[in-house]
Amino acid sequence: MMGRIRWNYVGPRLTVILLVAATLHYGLPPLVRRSFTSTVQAVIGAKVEVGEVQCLLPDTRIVARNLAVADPQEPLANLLTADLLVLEVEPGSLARKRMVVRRGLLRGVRFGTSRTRSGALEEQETDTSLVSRFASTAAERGKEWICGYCVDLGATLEKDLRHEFQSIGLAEEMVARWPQAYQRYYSRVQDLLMRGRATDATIREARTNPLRHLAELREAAQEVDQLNRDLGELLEELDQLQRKFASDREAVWNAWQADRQRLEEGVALDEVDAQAVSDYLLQEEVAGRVGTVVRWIQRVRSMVPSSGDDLREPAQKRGADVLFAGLRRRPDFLIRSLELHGTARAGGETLDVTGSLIGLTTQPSIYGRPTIVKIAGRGTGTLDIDASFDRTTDEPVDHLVVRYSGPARPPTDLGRPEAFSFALGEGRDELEADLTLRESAVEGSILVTMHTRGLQVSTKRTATPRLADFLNDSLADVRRIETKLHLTGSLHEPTLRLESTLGKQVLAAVQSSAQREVAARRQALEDTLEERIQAKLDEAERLADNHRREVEQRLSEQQTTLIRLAADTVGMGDRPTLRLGSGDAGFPRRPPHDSTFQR
Amino acid sequence: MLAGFLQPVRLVVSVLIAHDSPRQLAAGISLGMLLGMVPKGNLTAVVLAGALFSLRVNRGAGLASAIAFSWLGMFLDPLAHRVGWQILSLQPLQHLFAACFELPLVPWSGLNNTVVVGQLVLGLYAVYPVYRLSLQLSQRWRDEVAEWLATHRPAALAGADDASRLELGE
Repeated sequence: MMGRIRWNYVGPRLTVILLVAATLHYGLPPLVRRSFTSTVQAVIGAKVEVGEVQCLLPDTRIVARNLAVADPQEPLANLLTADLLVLEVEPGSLARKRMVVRRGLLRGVRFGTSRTRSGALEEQETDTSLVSRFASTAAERGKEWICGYCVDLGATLEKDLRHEFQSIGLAEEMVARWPQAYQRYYSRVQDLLMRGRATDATIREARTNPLRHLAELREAAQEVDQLNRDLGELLEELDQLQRKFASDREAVWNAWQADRQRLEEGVALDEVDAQAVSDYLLQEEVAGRVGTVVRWIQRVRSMVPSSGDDLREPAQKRGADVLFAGLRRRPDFLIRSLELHGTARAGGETLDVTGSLIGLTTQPSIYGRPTIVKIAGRGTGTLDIDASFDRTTDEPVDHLVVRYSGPARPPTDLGRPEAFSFALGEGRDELEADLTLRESAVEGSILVTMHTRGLQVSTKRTATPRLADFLNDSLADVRRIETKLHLTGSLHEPTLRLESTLGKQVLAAVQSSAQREVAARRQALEDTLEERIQAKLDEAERLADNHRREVEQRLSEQQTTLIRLAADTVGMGDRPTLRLGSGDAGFPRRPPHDSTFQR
Repeated sequence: MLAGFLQPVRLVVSVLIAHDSPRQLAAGISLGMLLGMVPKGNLTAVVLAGALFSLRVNRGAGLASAIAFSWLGMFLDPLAHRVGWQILSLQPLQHLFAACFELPLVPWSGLNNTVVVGQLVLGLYAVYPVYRLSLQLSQRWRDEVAEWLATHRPAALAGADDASRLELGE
C-alpha cells in the first residue's frame, strides 16, 4: 500500500498542511488571547486575565476558561469572574478585519469577588466613597424636635408654657416691675425730705435775727407751702400705686383662669416639618441603600465603553486610513448577543443570576445602536436590572431601571440610638430605581418601600415609660413606609432629596403621645403652675411691702417736719394748709374675689 | 564550536554569490526594495515577502535590500502619504475602492492606508530603475567580488565545497 503512494509528491504537501494545522492549533490561541485581553482591557479600562484559550476552527468558536475582569472602580476587586466564555465568531467578519460575535455565553459568573493583586491598568486615585452621606440641617432639626418631645418633655413643656401661659409671665413681670416703681416713688419722697430739712435749716438761721432775714423767712414760708402741696400729691400717688398693685394681682388671677382652660384643651407643640423628621430617621438607612444601587450601576456601566468616543487609533500608526465614500462602516469588534449565567450577592444573600448583553462594541458611534443589558437575579429576593447605554453620540445617555425585592429583613433601628431611635419591625423591603445618566450627571428617583409589622421605640431615653407606651400604641399600626429619593448631581456624590411617609406618621404619633402625656400630667402641671404663680405674687408683695414701709416712714417724718415748719412760719405769710395722708396705706393681701390661691 | 560560529557567515557568503545569476540578484534587490518600503503588519507586505521567497530571485539580496529600504522608506513617509492620499481620494474610484473593501481579506491588505499605497506606488515606480542599476552593478562587480572571496579568508571560512561552487569567470 505504502509503495503505491507517490511520496515525493504527497510528502511535501502533507508536511505543509500539517505545519499549517500545527501553527493554527498552537499559534492561534495565544494570539487570540492577546487580542481578546487587549480589546476587553481597552473597553473596560482594567486588567483582564484569561486562563486557557481554545480556538475551534470548524465552528469558528473561541472558548476561554477562568476569566477575570478587574473592577476599574476598585482595583482589589473583580468586576466579574467567569468559569467559561464561549464566543461564536462570524467567519466572514474575520476575513474583513473585524471580529463579530454572533452569540456568546458566559457561564459561572460571579460579581464583585476579591483580588490579591491590583487590577488597575495605571496609577489612579481610587474613589472608595460611593455616596457621601447627605448632611441635612433639616435632619438635625428633626432630631432636636423628636428629642425635645420624647426625651426632654418636661423641659420642653416648661419652655412652651413660658410662651403659651400668660399668668406666669405676668407674675414674673410683677416681680420685676413693682420694686422699681416703688423705688422711683421712694426717690421722690427722699427728695421731698431733703427739701424739708433745707427749709428747716433756713428758718432756724433766720430766727436768730428775724428782722435781718425777713425775706428768707417769707421764702421759707412759701417753700413750706409748696412742700405741703407736694406731700399731698405724693400721698395721692401712693394711693394710686396701691390700687394698681391690687389691679395687677387681679389680672394675674384672671390670666391663670384662662391658662387653666388652655391646659385642659391641650398644649400647642412646636411646629416642625415632617421632612425634617424623615431626614433624621432615614438618612443612614437610605444612604446605605443608595450606595448599593450606585454600586450596581457602576458595575453595569463598567461593562460598556466609558464614553461616546470610540477607541483611539494607536499613536504610532504610519499614514492615515481613508474611509471610502459608499463604504459602510462597521465596528471592528461587536458582540451581538452574550448570555450570562452565574451568581451575585445582593442584600446579604446570593442570587442566581441570568442575563443578556446585546450590542456590545468598541465603536458604538459606528454601530449606531445602544447597548442593552438585562440582568435577572432570583433567590429569596429578586433583582431585575434593565439598562440601555447609548454611546452613539458625543453625549452618552444611560438609562437604568433597577427593581429589587429583598429577603426578610430583621428589625432595624431608625435614627441614632444615642439621641432617639425607633425599631422598624421585621419585614421585606422593595426598591425601584429609575435613573438617567448623562456622562457622570445623574437624574432620577429611587423608591424604597419598607413593609413592617410596626414601629416601636427602641431607646430607653423617653421622658417617662408612659410616654414610650403612648408612642408604641400610636406607631403599632404602621405597616408600610414609602420613601422616595430624588437624585441629582454626579453619580459619585449625588444630591439626595428625600420624601417619606414616615415623617408624617412619626410626627402625628409624637404629637398625640405628647398631648396624652400632658393630659396625664395636667393636674400635676396645674398644681406646679399655681405654686409658681403664688410664689411669684408673694415675692412681689414682699418686695412691695418693704418699699412701702420705707415710704410710709419717710412720709411720716416729712409730715412732722412740715408741722414744725408751719408753726415756725406763723405770721410770715399765709398760714399753710397742712394736708396729711388719706389714712391707712395698708395693702390688701388677697385679691377680693374667690381665689384659686386660697387653700 | 568554531564551526557553529562560522555557519552564519558561510550561509551569507553562499547566498550572496552562489547559484544566482546577475538577473536574479538584481530582481531580488528590487523586490526586496519594494518589500522594505511598504509598511509591515498587513497582507500586502506578506504577499511581497511570499513573492520574494517563492520566485527564483536572490533571497539574501532581497532581504538585505528590504532591511536597507525599510530605514530609507521611513524618510519618504511624508511624500508617500501625499501620493497615497491623492490616489485614495480620487472621486471616480471611490465606489470601486469601497466595493473592493467589502471583499474578504482585502481589509487586511492595508491598501486603505495612505502610506502603504504611497510607498507601494513609489516602490513600483522605482522597481525598474533599481533593477537596471542592480543588474549593471552585479554584472560589473560580481566576478571581482567572487574572485576576491575565493582567494581570501572569507572563502576559506566558507569552506572548500562552497568555494568550488563559485562561478568564477562564468
